[in-house]
Amino acid sequence: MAKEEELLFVGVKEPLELRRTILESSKDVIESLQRYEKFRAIREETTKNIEKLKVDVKEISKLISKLKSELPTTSLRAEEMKEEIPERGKAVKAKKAKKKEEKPQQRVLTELEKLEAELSDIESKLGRIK
Amino acid sequence: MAEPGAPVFVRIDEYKDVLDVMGLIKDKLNEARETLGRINELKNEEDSELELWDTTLEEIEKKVEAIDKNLFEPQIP
Repeated sequence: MAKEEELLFVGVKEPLELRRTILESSKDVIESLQRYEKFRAIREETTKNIEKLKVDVKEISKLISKLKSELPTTSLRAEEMKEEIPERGKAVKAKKAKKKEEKPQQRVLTELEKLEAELSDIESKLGRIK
Repeated sequence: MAEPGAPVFVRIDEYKDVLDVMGLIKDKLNEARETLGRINELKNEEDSELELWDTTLEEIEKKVEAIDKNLFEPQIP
């Protein structure tokens, strides 16, 4: 029992050097934490800028739509459209009927799906021009 | 019915509106270009910060290793 209470000491080689290394490590750790704060600030600014870019692009999209509406509407492609519309209309009706059978509740389109639909619409219009 | 390839005319007052809208589109595009440039700058800053972080962590690892070595190789009197 008396032996267990005895205090033991371990000698440390180059104690000053060890102390310096520990202090330097602490300094590095604090610098890392500072870097983390800086990194977080950069990320926040990036997020804000991405959001701003998104708003800008949406505004550009609206302006392009406005431009389209400002331009005169012509019946230049009326014949082509007349040929396609009934077929498309039928196809869409058939699809809609199928969808109604499959899904009684209409799903709300996500932003990505809306954009995809818009894109395919524009592509089909471009296809008709060519 | 208009023929394909037939000229299209825009009324003068509407044409002015079209030009205004075009001006706005150009302004917005410039703005978007600037924002994208800033995002790229920030991305580069992020990358260099990450590199520095990596170097600092390596330094800490080396120091901790040295401390570990020192503590587990006690001085023999």
